[in-house]
Amino acid sequence: MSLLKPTRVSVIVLFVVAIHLPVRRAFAGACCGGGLANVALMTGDEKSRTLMSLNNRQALWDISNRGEATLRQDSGIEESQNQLTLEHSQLIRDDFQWGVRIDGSQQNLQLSQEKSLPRYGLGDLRLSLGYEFLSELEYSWWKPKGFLILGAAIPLGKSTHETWDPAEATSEGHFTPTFGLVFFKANEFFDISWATEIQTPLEQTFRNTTDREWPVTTQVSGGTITQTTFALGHTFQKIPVRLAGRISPLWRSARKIQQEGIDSETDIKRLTSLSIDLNWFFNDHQQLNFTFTDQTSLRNTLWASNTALSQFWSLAYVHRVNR
Amino acid sequence: MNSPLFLRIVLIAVLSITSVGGVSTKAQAAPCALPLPAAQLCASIQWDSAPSASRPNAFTLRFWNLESGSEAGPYVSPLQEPFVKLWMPSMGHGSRPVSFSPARDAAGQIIPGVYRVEKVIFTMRGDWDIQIQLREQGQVREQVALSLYL
Repeated sequence: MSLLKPTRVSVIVLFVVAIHLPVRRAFAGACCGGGLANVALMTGDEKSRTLMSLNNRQALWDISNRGEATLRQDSGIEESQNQLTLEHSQLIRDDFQWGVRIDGSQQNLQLSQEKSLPRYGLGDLRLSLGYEFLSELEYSWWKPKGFLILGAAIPLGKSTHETWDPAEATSEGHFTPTFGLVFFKANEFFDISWATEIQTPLEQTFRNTTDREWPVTTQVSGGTITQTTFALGHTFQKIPVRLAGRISPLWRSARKIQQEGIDSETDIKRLTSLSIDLNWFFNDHQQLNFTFTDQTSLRNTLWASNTALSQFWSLAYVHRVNR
Repeated sequence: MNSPLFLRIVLIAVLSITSVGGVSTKAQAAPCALPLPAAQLCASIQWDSAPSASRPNAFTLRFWNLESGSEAGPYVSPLQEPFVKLWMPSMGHGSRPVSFSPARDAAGQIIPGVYRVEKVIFTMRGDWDIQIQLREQGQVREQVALSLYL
């Protein structure tokens, strides 16, 4: 009986045994996507992958630059977003892949009892090129696959510097080169991944023409955004389901802003996302992903500052073509 | 011998300090929290109620001559176009434009140098600047900011 009792040691032993098992199948479709700006990587045996997802975001908390947290409900500010995302990744060579992603949003905002109509707009067009610099050509219980990613975000929608209506701002507004490094290891039951991404939005000048009599010009330095995602997944033996957890701290540097000749500088922004992924594999080609992401749990000054924190739901259908 | 000399030095020092103080108080300029020196103006903000992020806010904006006026008046209209902008420095964004109009008395006459600023909406809690600007020919000529933390 005592052998069957789950203890911390037995869980660790089971984990160590599990990662020594030979690779049966890598459910790569679920890896390294959500939260990062780059298009999700194909880390398994796929030749191509197409994804369509519906996402919902509710902004719940504001964290000031002093780290003080305010529930938006108490401020009478309600903000939500529904988003449709289309994404496609394709293998060019065994070690090269490219990807493209585009999204459209519907945003709702209520400020101090002043409800605005829903606004619709495109987000950013994201392109990426992935290179597998660490391949898994022979069995190794420890050696991960490694990928380098070069990407770019091309803004298609309006940013907050181009409209007075925050609900209308569906894009960051900057042309943004991104650089990523991903390590991924999977075996029969477990997968583990580490992804770090650096975004370097370019300095840009925006023109807000909402008020035709008084158009406002704003020059914004992009700064740097760094995000690291650590994920741990488990694939069940008897049901075609994978369950994974992710933690993603994000840091955005201060930005210099010049509006109408007047200089100001933002503070550093920090937040941390926690996610749960549930992937249901219909067959080798089709899967359904359900993801819940929460930024509000880690809202103390250690994890979050100078930002709004949200909760996200996402439902995605994925179609894969294997090699 | 030394004692009168010492007293004389102390007396001269005291007189010097007093006279310097006299010069500084001679101007008798009213204290100005929001000066616009190029326009020789001072501005003041009087909130209808304490500013809050949970509802639209409103205030009265007054301008007076930096040298000869005070918060109690007389008020003078700026030569340039006055304007109020809300800006959140830490986040790098503003809020929607406020409603800005000249204040009127009970008879409906415009009160020179006094303005009503309404629909002051702070889109989130945190640090805000209320930028009082004087604009001319599409350019901000002068600006002063009142910083708030909500």
